[in-house]
Amino acid sequence: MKKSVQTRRVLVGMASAGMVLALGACSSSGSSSSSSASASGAAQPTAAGTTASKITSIAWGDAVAADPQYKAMGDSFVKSAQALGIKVYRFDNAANGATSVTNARLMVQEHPDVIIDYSGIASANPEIGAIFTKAKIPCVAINLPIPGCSQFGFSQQQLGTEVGTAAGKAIVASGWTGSDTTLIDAWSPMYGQDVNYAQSYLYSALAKALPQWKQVSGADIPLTTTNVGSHAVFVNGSGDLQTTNTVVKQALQDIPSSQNIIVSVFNHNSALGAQQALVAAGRKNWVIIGSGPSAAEIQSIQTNAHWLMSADFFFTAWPKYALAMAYALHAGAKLPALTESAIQATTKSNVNTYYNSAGLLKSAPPLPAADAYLAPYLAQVGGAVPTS
Amino acid sequence: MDPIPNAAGTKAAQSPPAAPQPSGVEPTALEAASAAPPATQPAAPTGWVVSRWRKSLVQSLGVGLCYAIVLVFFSVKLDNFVTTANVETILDGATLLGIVAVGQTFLIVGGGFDLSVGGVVPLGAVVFGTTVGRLGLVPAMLVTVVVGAGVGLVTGLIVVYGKINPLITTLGMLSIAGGAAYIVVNGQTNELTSPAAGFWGNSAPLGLQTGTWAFIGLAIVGGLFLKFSVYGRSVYTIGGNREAAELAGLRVNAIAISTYVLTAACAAFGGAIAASQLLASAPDIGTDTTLNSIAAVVLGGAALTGGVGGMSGTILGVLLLGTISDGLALLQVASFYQTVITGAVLLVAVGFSRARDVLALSSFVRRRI
Repeated sequence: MKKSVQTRRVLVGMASAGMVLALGACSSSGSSSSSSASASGAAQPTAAGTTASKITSIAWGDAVAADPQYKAMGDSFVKSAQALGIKVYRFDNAANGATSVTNARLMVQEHPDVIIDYSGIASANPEIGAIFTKAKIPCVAINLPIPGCSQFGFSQQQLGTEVGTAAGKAIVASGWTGSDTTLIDAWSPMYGQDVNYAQSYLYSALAKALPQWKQVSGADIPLTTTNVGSHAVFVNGSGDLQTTNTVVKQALQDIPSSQNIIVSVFNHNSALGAQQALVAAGRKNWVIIGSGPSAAEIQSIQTNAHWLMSADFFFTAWPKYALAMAYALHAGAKLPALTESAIQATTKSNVNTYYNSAGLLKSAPPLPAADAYLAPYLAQVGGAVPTS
Repeated sequence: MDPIPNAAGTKAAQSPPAAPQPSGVEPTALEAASAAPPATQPAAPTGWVVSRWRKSLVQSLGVGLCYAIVLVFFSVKLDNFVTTANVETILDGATLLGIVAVGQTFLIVGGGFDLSVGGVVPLGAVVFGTTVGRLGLVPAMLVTVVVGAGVGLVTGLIVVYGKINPLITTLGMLSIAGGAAYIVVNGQTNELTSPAAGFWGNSAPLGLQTGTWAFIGLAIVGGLFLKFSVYGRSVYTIGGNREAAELAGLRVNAIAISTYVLTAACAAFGGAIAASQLLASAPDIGTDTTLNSIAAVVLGGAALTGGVGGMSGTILGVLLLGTISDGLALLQVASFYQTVITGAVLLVAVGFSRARDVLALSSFVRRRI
């Protein structure tokens, strides 16, 4: 019995020693990998005058790869990074908090130089931030803030207000009034309040141009809202084609055929679903305010009279911005808490300024003044970054 | 269409023998009753258990009554509920789920179930979307249905010959088919612009869409086929008592596989119709049909253990789900609450049926005493 205990102790000791050695080897391997990256990366002078080792790897988290817009964004990022010789570890957060947290752990395990994570579930982000912070890996949070990461995004409230104001002018110019016009707002409450502010603030800005509508602040339209006054219906389109088609059909039941209809949607799939519902219902006087927008949506604005405008946050340029932010972080630059994307209402009058006839971004809009720090890094990645 | 080529099997299906008694063990009354094809089954049960047919009827009546209450409620609460336009909206909206549920009914009555429909529907939608412009409507529909049937065939073969639990198999196929749908279109949504693509969304008699008429036709044909054909009665027999069906000479494996093929073909067909109605094909169309189709079939009186159920009950279940969704939207109930209310109504519907079932049973027991 005594001999058995001794044997066990020896075995445990050997196992412990083995683990320590293995950990040491891993640690030194990581270090040497880093060192070798620095050495082989031929330290690059940045336009800002700083020097940085070459980025060798980035971990990228898609918000939800099943959505065409998000997938296109991830594809574009991977293409851009690979063109610069960067290895990309790509993960799909699948619009799921638990998956996002698991992915954060997996990202850290890959020991990338920078992590760029688009976690669309705000409640998961504190835990994700803790994981990144503990690993001491610089990170960029896309759209929603992650503690400890530099955020890239935009103000949903500001976008909603700008688009609502532009839409109000266009609606009034076309001769529609608050009395003969109804808004169907196909938002997506399950994604949370923040990303739906663009929709609620759009209403409040639009209502200012149409005084017959109930005047209410966008902040006072909670996610359980189904109608505001008698001229705005809020329906849950869930951001997908079929659901939006169904809920818009249902909403149309309640709207007299004489009414002009404005449909504001969450994304392009929703726009297509709403469009088909309006056509199937035989409605004549309607316009769509899109969001995103995708290339197909831009083409619709260019060619289809029913497509009024799009809440444009230049989504297709985001990979370029994110990559530039990664370069800035890796170079040791101090980034602002929020780097803002350009936003605007892309209308029939300005669509051709930024997009070509194929609906692809031909020139990115000017950066907001606060993003001036990004310019030299954008120059570094710009040549290799597709604009769509 | 007779799936039972041998004389013994045909006889078994048309004039059922008493269930054989393996190893000298007396079959229970339920087994004896369920071993016989329901179409020729005597009305009175052989034991104290109410016959499965009666149970199904009771539950159909239960969901029917529940549906009637829902209709009355919304009719009273809403001025615009009982209108032609709204009836069209409900029926058009029920088309996809209805078509999937028609196939699912055969499978559940036969003792199986298929979770993969939530992957096959979008696969059907994108296959239709990518082929209709090049091939035209009919060939594209054929390709779509064949692809769906192929998925069903693989599923059926794995379940029947691989002896792998249908839950795991169809869950796996759900993932495979759903993933394949994303691969086919690279995750993108494609607008369908060819004139043929919108055929199932065209307006047809009574203001309903062509696709809705296809659903109505499929439900009628499917219901008659399930109830009155030799094949349909064989499905009931297999679902009721597989061992007895085998001993009676039915080609149990072939019929079981065919129900998976039929279900997946219906799902792909439904996906094509949905894409046509939406004039766009996307890999997320109909992903919610998995549980909804099973819920509709069970609401309609089917038992997940097989051997019980019918098409009329399934259609009632589909309409109940569609009507609740429509009515709550017209009442402008917030989407978060809609989800809760829908679940509660479904529980009430099933609970109500169960209560009637228990009442019928106790009444029968009292009569026997």
